[in-house]
Amino acid sequence: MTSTSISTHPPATAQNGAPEFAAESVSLGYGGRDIVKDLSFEIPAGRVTAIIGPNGCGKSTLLRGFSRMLRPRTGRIRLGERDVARFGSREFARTVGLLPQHPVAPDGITVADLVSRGRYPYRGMFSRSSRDDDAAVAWALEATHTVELTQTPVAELSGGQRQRVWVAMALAQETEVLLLDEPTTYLDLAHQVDLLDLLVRLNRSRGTTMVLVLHELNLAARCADHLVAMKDGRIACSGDPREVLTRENLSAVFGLDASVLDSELAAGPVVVPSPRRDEA
Amino acid sequence: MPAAVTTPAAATMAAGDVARLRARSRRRPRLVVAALALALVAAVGVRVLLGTYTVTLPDFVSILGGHSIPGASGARFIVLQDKLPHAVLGALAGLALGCSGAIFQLLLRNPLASPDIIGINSSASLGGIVALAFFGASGLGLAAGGLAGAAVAAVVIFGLSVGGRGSAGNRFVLVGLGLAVLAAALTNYVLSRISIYQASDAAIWLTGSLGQANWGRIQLLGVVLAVLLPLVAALSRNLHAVSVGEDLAAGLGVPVGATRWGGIALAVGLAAFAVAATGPITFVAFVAGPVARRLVGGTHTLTGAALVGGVVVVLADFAAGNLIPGGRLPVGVVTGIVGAPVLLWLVAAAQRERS
Repeated sequence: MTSTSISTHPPATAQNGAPEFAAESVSLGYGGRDIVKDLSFEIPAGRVTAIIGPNGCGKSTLLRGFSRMLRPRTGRIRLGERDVARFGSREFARTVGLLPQHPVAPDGITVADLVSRGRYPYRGMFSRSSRDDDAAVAWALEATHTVELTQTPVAELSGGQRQRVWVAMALAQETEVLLLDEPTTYLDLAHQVDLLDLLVRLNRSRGTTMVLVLHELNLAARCADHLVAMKDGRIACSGDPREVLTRENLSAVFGLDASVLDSELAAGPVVVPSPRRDEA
Repeated sequence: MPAAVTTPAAATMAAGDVARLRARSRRRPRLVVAALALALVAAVGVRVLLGTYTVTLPDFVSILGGHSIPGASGARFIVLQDKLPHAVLGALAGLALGCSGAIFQLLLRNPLASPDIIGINSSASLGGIVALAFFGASGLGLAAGGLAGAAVAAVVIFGLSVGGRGSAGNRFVLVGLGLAVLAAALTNYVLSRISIYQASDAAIWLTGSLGQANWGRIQLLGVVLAVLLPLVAALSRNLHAVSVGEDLAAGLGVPVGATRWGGIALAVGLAAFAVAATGPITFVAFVAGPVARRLVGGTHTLTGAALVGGVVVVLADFAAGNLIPGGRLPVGVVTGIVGAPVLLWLVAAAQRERS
């Protein structure tokens, strides 16, 4: 209860009922091609949801739909009772935060400056940073353990530090929902675990709804309350990680021959690809 | 429950710390901008007072006050019709080019995306040359031709490079490079179709020259800057906000489309009117942004870039008039000669920093 430093700042937005995000028969795509096809599902509010699936299955496209980067061709995406298209851009940005796949920092920007960019939706046209803005930035830096880096140029950070800084920027946005597209790519295993644990802690302490696109199945099982497996633009299966990560599902969704161990060590399912068969 | 009471001191941060950091990070840019403004005034002073015909400061003040200098009746004419217009037009053109280049570089997140590289300036020249050669245009007509050329170029480049996914900045630069070559070829074609006298006038304009500086041009460019620069200032926060990338910016609620098109329109306008007034003075738009960034310590600064542009053009013009005894080079020759090594130095310095 008192152990985390995370719960110190945010009094205003810590709420018990984050709005529920849902796709209702949504099709999304580029050019003439639908990548996500007639898909419906609800993201459990206040939980950590991980979307998994093979390359090109439409995970990122779906996330772009939820973040309004991409307008659905058919169907609608709603947040609470409202169609996301009805939100004003600032209002939406105060409710839903997005960390895209490979963000690139502007030249020469420092960590403090980058993180404070997350306050954009709270600022007026000409108004300066308020005390609220500063407090949110300070809290975000603290929560991501990047306080020591505040004056460092982002270009000089290591991959793990950089990713934490991007998360800090998204946190400074103080949204009830956070969408993260493969936040752990290019990180080594220790840093992947570190980052995902950070996100889970934030979820537990603030009730922030987290939606992550992840490649690494064992890490997805480790951090997610709810797993969604996609294939060919549709949802193949979803639910508790134990229900989703089964030998049959892995074979059907990924074409992967693997065993699933229920490990006490990992406190959850662990996917182990079958031993390689050396053909003579 | 360990660590319940004490969190490590270094890991905590208060709102006051952030406010202090912010104040500190603003200090250097402010000082640099103030220093650059002074440098621009000093450069104009040097251009007006020194050189092949020197004027003392008291004489200059009394000329400005409407008096003639006893014993040097020509001084008034030289100052008011030659030295001062050169300096002022150079400063204005430099401000416009520097600001335009920095907007493009910020918006497209690419230091190569300046109007002199991606064909905006050469298309403005083409428009100007067409207006000059076929319609006998000058002044406002030439500016209109330049603006039309630059606007067509911007629409073509954007039409071909926006949309789809991936790095729009790189596509933009590649398309722009192609367009620059095309515009240069068409300009040469036009030059070959007109009389030798027209062509020699046009050639001087095309190198970028303050030789035609007069108060009419200054008025036109001055009015344009008085309208466009406040708009740039109003858009500047959004321009900086978009520099985190269009996806992320949209996620923050930045009006990405409006900012992009507004920024492009302003940058094209600034470049086109500067080109119409002086011809395409090379490398200024390209160099001003990176130089200003180094001076303020890393981050983009539109004000700084504009001021650097002004200082560079005025000083280059001063050098152009005094490098060769008895002769006078077009200012564009000097900015080219000085600008190219600066570019190489910037690239080398950036490489060294990265490694």
